[in-house]
Amino acid sequence: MSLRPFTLILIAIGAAIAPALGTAAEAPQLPAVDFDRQIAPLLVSRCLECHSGLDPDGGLSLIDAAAAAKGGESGPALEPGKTESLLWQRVEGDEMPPEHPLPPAEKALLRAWLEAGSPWGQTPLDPLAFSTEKRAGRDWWSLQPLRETPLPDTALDPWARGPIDAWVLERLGASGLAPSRPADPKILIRRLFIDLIGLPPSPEQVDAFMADPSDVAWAGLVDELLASPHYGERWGRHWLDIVRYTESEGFEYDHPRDRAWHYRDYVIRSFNNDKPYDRFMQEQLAGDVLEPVTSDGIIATSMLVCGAWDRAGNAQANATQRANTREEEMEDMISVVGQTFLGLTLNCARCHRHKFDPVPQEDYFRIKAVFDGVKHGERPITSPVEIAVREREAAARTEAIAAERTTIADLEREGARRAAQRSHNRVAFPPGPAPLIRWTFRDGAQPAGGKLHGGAEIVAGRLRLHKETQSSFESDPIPESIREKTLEAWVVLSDLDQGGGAAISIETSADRDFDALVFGERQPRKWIAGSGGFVRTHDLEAPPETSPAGQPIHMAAVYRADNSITLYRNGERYAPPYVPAAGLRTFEKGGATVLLGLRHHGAGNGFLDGEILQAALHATALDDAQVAATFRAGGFAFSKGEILACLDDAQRASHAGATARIDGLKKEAEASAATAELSYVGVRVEPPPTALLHRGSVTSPGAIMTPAGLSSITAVNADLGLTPEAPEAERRKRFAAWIADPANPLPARVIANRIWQYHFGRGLVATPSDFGLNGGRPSHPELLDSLAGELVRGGWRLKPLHRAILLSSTYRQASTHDETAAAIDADTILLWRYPPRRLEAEVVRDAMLAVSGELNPAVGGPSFRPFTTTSFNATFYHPVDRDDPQYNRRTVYRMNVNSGKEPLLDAFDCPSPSVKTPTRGETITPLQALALMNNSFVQRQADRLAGRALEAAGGELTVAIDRAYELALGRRATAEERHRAVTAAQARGLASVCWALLNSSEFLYVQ
Amino acid sequence: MTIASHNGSAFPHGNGSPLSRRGWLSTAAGGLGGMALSSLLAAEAPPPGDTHPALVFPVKAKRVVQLFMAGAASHIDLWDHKPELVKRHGEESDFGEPVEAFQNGLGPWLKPVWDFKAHGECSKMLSDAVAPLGAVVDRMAFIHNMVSTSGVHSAATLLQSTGFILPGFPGTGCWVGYALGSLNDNLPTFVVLPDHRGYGSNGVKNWDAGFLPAQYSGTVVQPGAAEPIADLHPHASAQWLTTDSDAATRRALARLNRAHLDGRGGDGRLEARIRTYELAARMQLAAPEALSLADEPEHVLRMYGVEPGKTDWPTEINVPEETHHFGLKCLTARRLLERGVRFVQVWSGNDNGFPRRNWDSHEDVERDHGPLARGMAHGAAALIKDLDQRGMLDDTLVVWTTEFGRMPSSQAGRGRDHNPFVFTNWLCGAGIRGGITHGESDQWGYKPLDRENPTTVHDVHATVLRLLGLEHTKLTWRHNGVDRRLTDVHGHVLTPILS
Repeated sequence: MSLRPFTLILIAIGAAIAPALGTAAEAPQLPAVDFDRQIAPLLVSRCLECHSGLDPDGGLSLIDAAAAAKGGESGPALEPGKTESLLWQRVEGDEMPPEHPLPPAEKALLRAWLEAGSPWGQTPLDPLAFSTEKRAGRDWWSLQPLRETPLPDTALDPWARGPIDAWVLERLGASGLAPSRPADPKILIRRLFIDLIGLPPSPEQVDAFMADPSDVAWAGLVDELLASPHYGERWGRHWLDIVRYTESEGFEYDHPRDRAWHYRDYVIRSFNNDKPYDRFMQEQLAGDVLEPVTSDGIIATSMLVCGAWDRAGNAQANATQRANTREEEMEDMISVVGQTFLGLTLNCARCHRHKFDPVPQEDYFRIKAVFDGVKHGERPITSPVEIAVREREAAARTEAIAAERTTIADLEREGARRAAQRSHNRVAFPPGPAPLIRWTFRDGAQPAGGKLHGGAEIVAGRLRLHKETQSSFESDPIPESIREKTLEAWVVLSDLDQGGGAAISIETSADRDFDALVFGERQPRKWIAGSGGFVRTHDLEAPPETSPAGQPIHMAAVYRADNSITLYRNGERYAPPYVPAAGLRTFEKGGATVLLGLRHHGAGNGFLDGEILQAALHATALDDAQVAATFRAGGFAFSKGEILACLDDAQRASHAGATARIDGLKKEAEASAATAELSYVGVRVEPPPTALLHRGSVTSPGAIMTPAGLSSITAVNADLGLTPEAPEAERRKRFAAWIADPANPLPARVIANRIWQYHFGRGLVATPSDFGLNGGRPSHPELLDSLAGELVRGGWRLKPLHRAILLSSTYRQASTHDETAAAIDADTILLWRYPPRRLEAEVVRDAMLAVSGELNPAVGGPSFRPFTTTSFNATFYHPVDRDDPQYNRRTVYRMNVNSGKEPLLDAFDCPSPSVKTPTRGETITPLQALALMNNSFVQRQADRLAGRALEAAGGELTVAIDRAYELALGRRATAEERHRAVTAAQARGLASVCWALLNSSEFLYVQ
Repeated sequence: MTIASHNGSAFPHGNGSPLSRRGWLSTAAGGLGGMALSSLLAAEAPPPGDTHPALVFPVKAKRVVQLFMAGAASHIDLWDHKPELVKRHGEESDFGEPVEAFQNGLGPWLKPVWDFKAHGECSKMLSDAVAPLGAVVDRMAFIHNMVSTSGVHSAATLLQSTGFILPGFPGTGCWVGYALGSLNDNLPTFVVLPDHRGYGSNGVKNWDAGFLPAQYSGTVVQPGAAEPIADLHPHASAQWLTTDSDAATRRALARLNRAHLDGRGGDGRLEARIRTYELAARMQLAAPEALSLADEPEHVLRMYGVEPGKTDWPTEINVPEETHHFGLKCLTARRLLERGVRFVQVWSGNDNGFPRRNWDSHEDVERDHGPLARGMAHGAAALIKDLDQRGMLDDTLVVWTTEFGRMPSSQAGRGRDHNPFVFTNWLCGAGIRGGITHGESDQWGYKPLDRENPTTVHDVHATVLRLLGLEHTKLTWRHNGVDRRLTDVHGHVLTPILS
């Protein structure tokens, strides 16, 4: 455990009650006790931790005179004029505070106060006012305004190039340490490249800097890299770690989020453009409602929802558990906002007052009220103006399509009429078995026994169904209960690649169970007997549907009392009968309807595109011969070809023209939909007022909370001027303004510390997302405030901050080890050298691609997917290594899914995407060695590096070896290395030498 | 003056202190080969007191094997005998209170699919589907009043595997590895043997190290697969890497790394990297040996029901195939435990798919539970007997779990809906009082008989840690401002089941 913060807290508490103790010890006969100065700190630090708040221990609150007099379960704690009160008895008997009795001096002080008649001062007491050994109070350092401290004398030291060096040097000196000499230029340039853009320098870039390692050249290099598009890729990746950016939903289903990458590009873009950080924060909290609304602003709010989402938890029937799932979702959202921007674990105050930091439970729910209208999901990221234009265009198209359809329908009616006339002499087949109900369709009439929905129409004696308008026919409730049954339909499929629609379905009204003849749902182009939850469904061994478009097909499904199910196509068995696990369902009289064109209600993909010529429900299970008879009896139907053949040429041309125009309009609509892009930015609702939940339990709602900021930051008013019913947009907008207020000390401190951390491997505060009691204190508090203050004054731009750090002498030190210095500061906290560190997982992979010459520098857009997926209810990811340029993009563009772990990245501590990761781990394991040795990706890059080096060397092995060293390590091989490498390459190939280079510590560490 | 490190201790909270020799050694301790690294590197030997501060109790168990039934195995049909259900079979289910079910599976009472018979000296009633375990039932302790806080597979599975219903927390085996380190330099500390058909709900999240250093993650081993451990051997595409050239190339690499280390003597990490290659090479030899069944005699293979080389299984789910696959994992587990692996997690059942190949029997308990349970019981019984005859059962803990139970009412006639309100766990072996039952469910197996005092996963985790010698409240890691524990802020050791 860490001793340091503990010690500091003891000092802090000492300071808080020191005046009281001092006076009490020196003068026991106190003339007058000063409540506010002496007693309040005592009560707050010794009693109020338990005896205050919504649910105080023993029912006793000590926040003011009335509460103390009222007392708790054991009776009044204080009684007027009674020194020997219950409070005193418990304190004197060392029962209270439990395990940590009051020291005698404090007891004396308390006694003096009681004897004086326990006069109260300013009340109610604020239990969070003072920092104690157990908790941070409102006086905690990170909550105080930024301080400007005059530079120390070390600023005059020639080593100090600016304030950073002055502060670092001062701390070094105070600890008897001195900075290291400047780093070698070839070490320095590699450090800078890896640090700023995550890629190693080319041999040419190294040579140029070696030739001129001047301050001017260094500054030029810094500016050049800050302007590189790769800067955003490198630093955006850091940000994505912090905000738990993930591209699959996690939990049980883990479905991919195909459209989440817009946020990744937004982050990269923002870093590259040096977007002011206050704006960057506000956009991520409320960019969708900040005027003028831009596409970027909408995308930015992905930050709130780009973590994991529990689909199954949200879908379960159990309402209490569903509400719990939502509370977990909100905690995820609040914790990411609190930790990312404020460096506070607000989420710890969900069930009770924060155990360590001055965050009352009310604050948690006030902030929850700010975000209560934010839900997971996709939304168009197009700006409202653009959307309006597109909506007008879409309406016009729909109208045009309807007009063309009328033309087609009129022509086909005419054709069908003529075909009927011509076929008077057609042979009539004997009628098949009589069904319970048969549905036929006559032009110009509402269908008997049911209703049309969603633009279903009757054309040429057929029910015409359009999938895109979700059309269907629903019958009246069935007139008698049915157990054995046959479903029968004549159907035309307009498109054989459609899936999920049913020709005919019988569905219960109560629980929406159903039996249906479904096309293409589980296997392309195949029919199944669909059923609720697939309980009576089997995949069938049957040929895929090949009937030409427009050709009527007769389908029947027979459900027998023995529970067997048989499907028939055009009068013949479609597949052998089978017996499903679940029993035959009875469809009750009046409790079920028949659907044509729809699988079941609520099935988004359950609509059929095509036509139903007629359909029937039999209350019996037809046998093979009877099904064949029903097929033959249907010989009345005309194919589309027959109908068209009865039209004259002009009519056919106008039919063809209308059809073509509809196709064109549909294509236009598709193209427009493709540009009206969706992204996983969450959806918004107007939430009901937010109630505090006692102990965080959804079954114990308490008072209604008003959306507000954090009460313990006193420099900015936490009251946002809202009511509990305020529009959700207004809540987030004002909260965003509260966060980004220049007087709010936390965001500037937190981001300045993060920037420092990524440059040096460790922040000035070692816990970058926790500036509370459990976090650390800054190693260089004045420096942190100086960086934060400069950031705000400079318009919140991050690039000048980078520049100040990179130009400092501190950054440009050598990383050489020093036994004496290490004995004083083993962890290089005081920066007596530049701390060497291992490359992160992404940099390992990107650097390998860069040196092998395989890196595909394409920027932005949909992620590459180095895995295959299989999907049942859930999606499963199976990582694969492919030798293909699109997979050789930088790792930040890899689809960041939850369960498709990549062994190489995993071995190098690449975190789970849905976990907020403010600092990366840096482990060294044999599994890492195995991954570097044997992973096919590494081996391929070694091969390519060898090829690249040989080609550059014109096939000269010695030169190629030098080239490979330069590419991989930024230096030439030594004479001995060269000699050995030649022998090795001759024995085992140059690839084996390159493999060793990519496995070497020199490649994997920044010095 | 010494600058206090944030992580002066060998078991740091949060970020390691990677630059110092002791610092990184401590983060490596417990990882794959951590102990060997310590001793190899120890010019200064690790201080004798360098054990985790949570290690305060006598060590009863040295290793753990956890059997995890993915999909929620029915306590009612396997372990928890409910005569009342047999009596009321087919009657409309009446719980005496409104029930919030997952899929509204509140059909008539459904009696257990199989008959129950008394087994062992303790006369424990067990279902015929798990009858093979009757032979060892006197070593087993049952807990029939387990409760979950979620009825959703992913969340409830995470709760069992990590102690939390949200992702991002370390698996139980990760905590054990972090606390206790390895018993063998050449094998992983925490091995996961997934169902041969795929991972259960949450996949790798169940054994991910979460915020603990990555080295504590479970290592997936697929017994019988062409490549049982990822990247154990060079990929076939690299033809220049053969077994011979491999060694020479590795020597060349070691030289390169040594040269780099010269002048950077204080950086323990660089020295450690060199060692990891030596350990990796040893693991390349040790792992295939550990996973090979060549030296297992015929009668052992028969005891586990393993049929090496058989591939022509029927397409429908069946008992011999389930027995073979589960037995293979149990036998592999025994071999790994024998060789010093600390924690082995054996899975039965994959995630929800079609056709169903896990324990989530919404439609038909007999169809899924039948083959799965018979296969599981055969393999588990063989494992327990085998450990026993090798004298390993005394310091090996066997824990059987699943994410929740199933309802006593029927769903779709023959199935059962989720029951997070009560289910069963059992433990066996090291430090466990055998032949007992702790905690009962009510007459239906719907909720705990004593609703105020159920058993939670935190209690089981606390008990497992106690048997390993660990105080669960002291096994912590600071992450994002909180000292995280496997047991969250809960957990009571189940002393009645301890011997």
